Amino acid sequence: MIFQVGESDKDFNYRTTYKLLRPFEAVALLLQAANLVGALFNDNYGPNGVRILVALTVAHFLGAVWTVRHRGPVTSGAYWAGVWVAITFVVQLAIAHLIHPGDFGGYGNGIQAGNFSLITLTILAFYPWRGRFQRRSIEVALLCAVAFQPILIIGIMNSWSFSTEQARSLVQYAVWAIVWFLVGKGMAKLCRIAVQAELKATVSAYDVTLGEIHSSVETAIDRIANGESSKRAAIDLRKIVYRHRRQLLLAYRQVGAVEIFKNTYWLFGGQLTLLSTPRLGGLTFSNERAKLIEECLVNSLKNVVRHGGGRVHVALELHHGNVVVLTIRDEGPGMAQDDFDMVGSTMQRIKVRAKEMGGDFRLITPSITGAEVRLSLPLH
Amino acid sequence: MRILIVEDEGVSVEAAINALRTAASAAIDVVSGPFEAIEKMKAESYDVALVDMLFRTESDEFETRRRLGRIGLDGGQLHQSGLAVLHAIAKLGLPTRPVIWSGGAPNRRIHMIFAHEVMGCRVMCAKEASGDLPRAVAAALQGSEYMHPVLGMYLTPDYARPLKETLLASPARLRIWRAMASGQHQHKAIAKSAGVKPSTIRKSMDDLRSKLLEFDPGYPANGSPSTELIRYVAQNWEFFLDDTVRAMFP
Repeated sequence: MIFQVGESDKDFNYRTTYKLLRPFEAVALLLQAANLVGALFNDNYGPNGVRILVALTVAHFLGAVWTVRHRGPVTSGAYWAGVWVAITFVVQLAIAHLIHPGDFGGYGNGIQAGNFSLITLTILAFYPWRGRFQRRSIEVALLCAVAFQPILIIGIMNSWSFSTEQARSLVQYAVWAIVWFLVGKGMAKLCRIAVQAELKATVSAYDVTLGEIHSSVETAIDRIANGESSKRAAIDLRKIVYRHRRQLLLAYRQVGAVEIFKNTYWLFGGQLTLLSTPRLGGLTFSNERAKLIEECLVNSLKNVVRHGGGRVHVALELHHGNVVVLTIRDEGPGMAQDDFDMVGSTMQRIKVRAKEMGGDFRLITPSITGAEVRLSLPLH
Repeated sequence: MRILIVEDEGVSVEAAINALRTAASAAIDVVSGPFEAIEKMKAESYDVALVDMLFRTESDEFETRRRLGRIGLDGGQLHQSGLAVLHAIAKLGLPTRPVIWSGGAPNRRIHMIFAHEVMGCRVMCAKEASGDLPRAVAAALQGSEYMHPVLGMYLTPDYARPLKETLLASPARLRIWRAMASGQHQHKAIAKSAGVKPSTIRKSMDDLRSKLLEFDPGYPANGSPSTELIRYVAQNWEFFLDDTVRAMFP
């Protein structure tokens, strides 16, 4: 069942945004590491300050790697999200004390390593907090805390006396805090719009498919009502159902062997007599192999129906644990090797693709006792 | 002869009734789900039960809860399928002979294998071949085997190992499969749901995949085992969360 548009927007938004958050967190930690490296080169720190900033940079880089492999602080729950926010504030406090006295916000062009805190703010604006009140409270509190922290730091360090440059830096920083916060909100909105658009496209594709099936059924009913052969109408309908089933089936990453064989058999329905069928159990094929096996089956069985009398043996074996061998043998007049080898024929196209995948497709018995074709293909 | 059809799709019900009435005189009752079927079979005696495998009303409601992560694995009812009817017939010692009547969707694959391999169901008829129903019903009444050649493909081949020795081999591994099927994707969440340590999940992933490869040799053998297993379970959650499978393999 697909997730229905409008049915549970809150849950839908939460789940989709949450899934997008992990890579976003990793990028954020990487940006924070880059921001700290930038601070090392651009600002004036003592030896201890350099050592601490290098350690923080390495920690953030490792944090980004960890997030890619496992999960990040925000997606790990409220506790780790809280730790990350706390680290953000502590790092900014540390930078204010490690930097050369008077430099922190002292040049009128913003706060040193200020982007470090703003990145966290962006992530937390992106995060799909549950509940409107909870979301608003957390966002307002964070925005205020991030914007006011440098004011508090400079105020306490300078006995609440601000130079013009410091005031200009603090205003710039507050404006950037709002901008970064809005960037986070905007990205969340964009992601949700993209997911909703994809969902609507899927629903629309279903509509088209179902519409075609409905109109085919109605046409068949009309043909039968007007005295046409119901058998003919049924064969046409079967082809349409087969086409749609095939479309759905081959969209899977792994395709069930039974489903491929069943669907192909029902395409030919009453025109085929299965003299033997393979046991397939839970076997699946990768999408690429499934498409080739299906094409091989359809074309071979089509020949069986047209030229082979409709009676067929189908076998599938696994050789050496990794090579699947599909054999199709009919009881018709056989197939000439020249016909099989005809350049540009379907059989040759299948052969070329099989060879590309490390397998082969061959005519085994070009005799008058029936045609036997064999497709061999590595499973992996 | 009394036949109970357990089927929720009107067109399939009509096809089955037409096929059975044309071949023999039979009193036919129809129910739309496994619960009703079991109650009906307890109250009245049927010679044959024609059982569909999955039921849309059951699956849709369960799927919604599963997607929202509201499936509890400890106690509580899991997903109901036609296997429940087969299980009730065997457990209650009912005289009814079951005939599986199934369509071709991929999410029924492991159910069909389970029905044959574990529950010993030997009469199966494809929905696409409703004309064969009288033969299937006759075979069920005689206690003989009948399987449409297409459904015979569900049987486990020699090169693969049966369900009991692979996916169902260990209760501990089954709990992990069920936790993943219930919608848990992170090791910690899977561990919590399965009642084991997260380190156990990490250690079990390779083992789970090797068992899966014994059952399905075509499944990808490389890539992250967790990702591959979660993909597999997402396609087959109806089986891993089946109430009857859990009752038989806790």
